[in-house]
Amino acid sequence: MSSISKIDRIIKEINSSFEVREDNGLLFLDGKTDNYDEIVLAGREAVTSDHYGVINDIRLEGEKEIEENDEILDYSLDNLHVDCLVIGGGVIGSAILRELSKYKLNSILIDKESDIIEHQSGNSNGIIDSGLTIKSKTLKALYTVRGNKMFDKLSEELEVPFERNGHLILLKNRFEKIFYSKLFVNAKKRHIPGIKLINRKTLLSIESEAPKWANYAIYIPSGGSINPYKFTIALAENAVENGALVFLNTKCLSMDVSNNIIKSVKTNRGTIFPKVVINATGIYSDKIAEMAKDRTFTIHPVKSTNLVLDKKVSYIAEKTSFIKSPITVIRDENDTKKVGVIRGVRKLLKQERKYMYEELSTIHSTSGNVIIGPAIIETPKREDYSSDVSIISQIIEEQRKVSPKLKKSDVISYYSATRASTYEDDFVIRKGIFTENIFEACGIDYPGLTASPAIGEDIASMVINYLKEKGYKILPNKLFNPHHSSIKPIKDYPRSLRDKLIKSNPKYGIIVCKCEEISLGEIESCLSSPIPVYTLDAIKKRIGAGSGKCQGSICSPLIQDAIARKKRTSILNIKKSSNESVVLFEKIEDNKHE
Amino acid sequence: MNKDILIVGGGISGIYSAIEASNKTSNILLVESERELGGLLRKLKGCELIFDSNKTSSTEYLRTLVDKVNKTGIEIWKESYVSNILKEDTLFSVDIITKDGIKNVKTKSIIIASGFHEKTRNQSFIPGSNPSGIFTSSAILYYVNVLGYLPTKTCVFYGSTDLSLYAIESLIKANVNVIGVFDDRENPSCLNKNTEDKLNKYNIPLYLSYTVTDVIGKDRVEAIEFSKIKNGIIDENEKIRIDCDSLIISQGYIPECKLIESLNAKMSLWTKGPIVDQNSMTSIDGIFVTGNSLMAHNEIETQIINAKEVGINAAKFKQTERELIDVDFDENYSFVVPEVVDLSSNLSNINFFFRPAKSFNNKTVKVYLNKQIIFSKDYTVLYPPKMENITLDLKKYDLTSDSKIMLKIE
Repeated sequence: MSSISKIDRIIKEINSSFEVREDNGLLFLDGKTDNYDEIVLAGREAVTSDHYGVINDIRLEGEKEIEENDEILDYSLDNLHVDCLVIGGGVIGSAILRELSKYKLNSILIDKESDIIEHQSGNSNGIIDSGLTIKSKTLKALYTVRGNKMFDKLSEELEVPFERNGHLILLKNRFEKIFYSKLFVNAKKRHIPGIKLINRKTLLSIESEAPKWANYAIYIPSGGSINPYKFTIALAENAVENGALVFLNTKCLSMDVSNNIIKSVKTNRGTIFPKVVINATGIYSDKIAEMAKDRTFTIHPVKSTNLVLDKKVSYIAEKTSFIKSPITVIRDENDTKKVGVIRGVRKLLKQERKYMYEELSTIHSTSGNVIIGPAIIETPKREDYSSDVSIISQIIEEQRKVSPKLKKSDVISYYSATRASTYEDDFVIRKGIFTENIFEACGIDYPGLTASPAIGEDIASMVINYLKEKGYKILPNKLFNPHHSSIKPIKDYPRSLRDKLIKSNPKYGIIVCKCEEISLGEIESCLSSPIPVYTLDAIKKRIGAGSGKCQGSICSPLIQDAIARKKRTSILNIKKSSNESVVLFEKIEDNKHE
Repeated sequence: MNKDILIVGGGISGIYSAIEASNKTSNILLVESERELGGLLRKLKGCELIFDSNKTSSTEYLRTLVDKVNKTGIEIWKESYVSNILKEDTLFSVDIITKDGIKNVKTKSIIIASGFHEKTRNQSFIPGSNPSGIFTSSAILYYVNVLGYLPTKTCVFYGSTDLSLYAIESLIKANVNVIGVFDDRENPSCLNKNTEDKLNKYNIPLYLSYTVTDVIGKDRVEAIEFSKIKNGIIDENEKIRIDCDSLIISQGYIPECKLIESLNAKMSLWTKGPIVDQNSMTSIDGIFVTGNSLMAHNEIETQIINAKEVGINAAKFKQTERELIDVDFDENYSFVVPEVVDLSSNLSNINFFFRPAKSFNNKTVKVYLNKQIIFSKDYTVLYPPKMENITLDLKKYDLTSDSKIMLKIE
């Protein structure tokens, strides 16, 4: 039986309306259903190694696509001719832009949002994965392992908080050591250094709050944690410092493709004429690939939810991040031993499909707050940032098995965002197949943050090779400076230096965000950076003002006031994030105020 | 610089403590992080404060208070932030961030009166999207009364604390359409006198036993969905969708305890503030806490009683060995302050502050000492928003480290 008729049989079992056809090396799925799970299941079942990928066009009945806002903003970019156009300002787009800025090229990055790092990257938990547990023979494993090794140098160059304190996989039973053997083989093959099976005593010396049942652990020293916002912003800002340009609120609307070449890209700010286009649009990457007539994959959004805990409970993950092994069974009323073992072994052997708490970890973050997450769940919505309170309760319930001291009242914040997963469950990192001047960095879900620097390198070198092939002379940017000075919290400065700084600029002595002890001076310097963004959310991402216990409820008015003064505009113009996210409507007349 | 007392926070409590303490010593430093003194009172500018007998304009009240504290001649630093407290032998070494640099102050005792912050959207576990237009009552009060800008035209409140009523009063005066107040509790979370004066007067409907089940809107709030709670469970059939541009959250106070927590003081499970003895001294000798950073006050009266006492106690403070016994209370209380009594200190006329956990009619508050009733007071009404205080003279009794003090409502 040919693979296609086998797929046809399987997907018809899921829903008799589903159909599969083969064209141009791609598998197309069609049909309709009102059950979203069926669509995802069919997509997964249609994956083969003989095709580029699955184009899942099965429609979900009753689900409205988000209304696209294609309004023209202005024509400030009209008729702009550039060498490289990077679409998407997440960590991938920013890493690529920085690599491109190492060459004498005219490179620009556009993002449809009011700031870079808005979607998936902006909701990352900052884990730098070792790449140990990722399925073999995937680009995901390749780029993650390579990316991981680049962080020591990068974090130093970009002055971004990074800690390589290792990750732990907690084991309960002796027989789970087979898990270690499997991972040990992976580690050897992938050159992941130093993984160790440790006993409880050693475990406690690393994490004193390890749960009672954890008798052993696998220690992966190359695991780490970074501040994902600061990292992405530093990448993009360093690119700008080296000559690249970033345009925000700029949305790609369509592309003019003829003779397998993108001639121009229409945006809401005019038509841009690039020599190459780089697609780093995450959750929208299949749509952009489609515009470029180079789509070989389908994004099925996976919503991940993370919780942020108060700093006063930082001790529950002092140095490392940890996760329970997939075969560790902690008995409770609903979880019988049998189901747990089978599920775990299946995952171990086949890398089975994901379940909600598979990745749930207690994460030590560089800011000091412990993060719990992520819980993952399939969603038909590409931009699903809504939070479901029942999931939050379940996360706490579930993770109490690993961190028994976890309390709901210690949660200060939670966030959900969608990841750009493909049915092939792998990254798409390549030059265009059907269109020659598009470069795809797509389908990048977890651990895309870790993989980003390696992806950046490879995409940039693909672009350079292509341009050279086309006869362009590409010169290195001799003035490229890899160093970027990121804004460091002044409260962490030595006392005498901080004192000196305040004496040189008294605004460093006016504390605006009381929870995080952030001064007016820091807010102002954040607005003088290479990519200044005059919104509340931008300040929060860059220096953490408003990210503490009170979540900005006390300092937001003060921060808005500071931004307005710096920008010399009315406070009415200072928004939360997008242009439509108005905070203040009007000035109250007939009233004397300060 | 050496001081007898350092007061952190220049709101009502900080000011009253300062005035009271200045009768004993004028070597006091009051540190306020904002540009002006007043704390919460500053945000209530233009609102009417209701005391038992009469109404007062908050602006007037604050002006009088500031005049009084200025007359004491104590040192006041505004726009200054207490960053760090270190204990050194008998003194505390305190780093204060100011516009002129980092100042180090050595002090014998410290009064923390740093106020509170309201429970946020996240701490109230409100589901849905995260657009602009979700505020706390105190943020609204700051925007409207301090900055003079309107963050809403049509809004709905979630939570009926007294602070929400002041926010409503301020918004109504600015012609904002307040659609209603929803509360997940079965009873209002505010004082009866405030409900009458502020809700009923403006005809704002109060919906009890409703919780937020969705926030709708991508950039700015477009609507809020509330659902009825029946027997502790959300009733899917009784949903109300309110079209509005803002959700204003008033889910209660959390004492601001960053400084005291950084010193590892013992914290109360009940007030979420530190555990204190009858002198309002925390588990760290020489550090006192008062006002909303000690416990959530709804009324200025109780707050003043406590703040004045703390001012005197801090001025009198001498390092001694404390002998603490616990104060227990039954499940009818949501908290009792103090939670410990120091037998080596003054035991006459101790003020106990408490809130009942639910509403009661015609009940008696009883204090037991080793199973013997030593105090009882009848109340026709007790309800959670109303903080009560009773004064006990424990000096009369022969208290030992084995003595058991227990408060009950019977």
